[in-house]
Amino acid sequence: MLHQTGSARTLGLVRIGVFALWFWQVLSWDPAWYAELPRALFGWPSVLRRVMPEAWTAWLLDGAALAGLRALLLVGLGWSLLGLRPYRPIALATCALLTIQEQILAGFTYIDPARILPLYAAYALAAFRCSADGMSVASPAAGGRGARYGTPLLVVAVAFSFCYAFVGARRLAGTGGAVFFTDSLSHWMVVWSRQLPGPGLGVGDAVAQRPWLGAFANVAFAAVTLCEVLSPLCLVSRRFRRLWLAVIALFQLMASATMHIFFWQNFLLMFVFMTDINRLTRRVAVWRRRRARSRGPALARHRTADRRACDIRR
Amino acid sequence: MRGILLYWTAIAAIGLAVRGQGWRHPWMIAEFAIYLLLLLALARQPALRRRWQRLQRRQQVIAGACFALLLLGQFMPDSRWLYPFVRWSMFAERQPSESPYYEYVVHRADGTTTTLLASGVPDAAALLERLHPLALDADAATRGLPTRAPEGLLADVLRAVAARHNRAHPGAAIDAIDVVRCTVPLHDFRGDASIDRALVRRVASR
Repeated sequence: MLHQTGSARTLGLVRIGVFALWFWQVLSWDPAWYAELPRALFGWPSVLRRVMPEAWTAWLLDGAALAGLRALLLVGLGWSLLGLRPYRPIALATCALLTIQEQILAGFTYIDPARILPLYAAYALAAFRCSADGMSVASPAAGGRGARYGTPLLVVAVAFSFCYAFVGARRLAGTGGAVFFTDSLSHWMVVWSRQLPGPGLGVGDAVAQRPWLGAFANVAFAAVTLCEVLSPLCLVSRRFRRLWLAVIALFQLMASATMHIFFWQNFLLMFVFMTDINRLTRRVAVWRRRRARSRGPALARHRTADRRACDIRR
Repeated sequence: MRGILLYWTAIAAIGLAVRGQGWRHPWMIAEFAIYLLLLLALARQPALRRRWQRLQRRQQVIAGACFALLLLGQFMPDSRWLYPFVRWSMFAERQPSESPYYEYVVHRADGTTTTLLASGVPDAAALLERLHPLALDADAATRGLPTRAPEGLLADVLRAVAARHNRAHPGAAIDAIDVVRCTVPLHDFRGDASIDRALVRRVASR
């Protein structure tokens, strides 16, 4: 099973990676620009639309409040990234603020699917106290092992796999798989490659100009969709997980080349949460230990030779 | 297993109440049946069951509630209610080949033109996504069709874009932004030149 066991070091590395991703995203957010946009454009993408008083929303969308929110977030994300104590209250509060900030972004633009899964990952890592144990400034010696360190990773993997299953099932069943029998995919390639920044129009346009290539793309798209529907099986089958990773990674790269749609956050997190990352970090640790051991005698010989040279000189 | 069925039935009942008439669509029921099958397949795995039983009662309740929200989010008629438990639907709806998209052509004071995407405005791609329904509305208004967005919102946003750009690049200030309807003739597509472009509206920056 995926994330059957874990270690404090692996969980710590993942925590650093996820919070660093968010730190970078918040750092590159320009709150002043959002304060300049017309207020009529904004709408809370949640129940806050009904619950939040107008005056509070107006206050929050002010330039100074947004800049304050960004500063608070950077402090909270830095704190969580380093695993400082008290970890859980600060990390949970940071996640709450992050949810507000993300809603502001989505309220002015749209709900970006590439930012939702990293948000779930941050929630899970904040919710478990043990996330602070490894690679932490507060407790650098902690090196516990066991299932409890794998649980936060498993929780994210479940959310990750089901979200992919939702995408596939909606495409397959929600509309009767109609997209596979039309030229919708070619249409998206032409339209999206012109609406998003990317590596050029060549690949998408080439597919749209050749019906046989469009038909092949539809067949490949159906295969990807089937893989997406079965995503939760990644949790229990290593073989399927490998196939899934190869198919979904290739699909993401192809979507980037043809439509300029690239969810880089999901692409990165996929290799963290949908792989047995603990096994990888364990192997790296073993390799480093062996390397240190093999270097050990050579280093000792070198030091002895140095000492002898000093003695002769004396 | 019985617990999973009960859990699924409860979520289905809430979804039914929320979604109302949308459930009449047989494909929606098929979609929800897929999720039930996936849940049952996972519940049969002893390793996963053991891991679940090892969780504290409180953790089980929180995990169950979060998963229920995840499922419910998928069935809400509007994705903008249960954030961050949103609807996951990508490339799912058939796209009629005649459906238009909109380009925003930026005219600078020095006589050069570019697109809004290439103008250097922060989060331009995300903003374009939000502008699409507004441009659709503006386009409908030119044909005397009813609109939903507040009057003038598209122009206000484009003026804000221009103001922002002009502050950052006073040497290449924006004079006007054209909203252009683009239709792709997919059956006879021969690259960019074959796209049918028509001016919908010109918004002056000042």
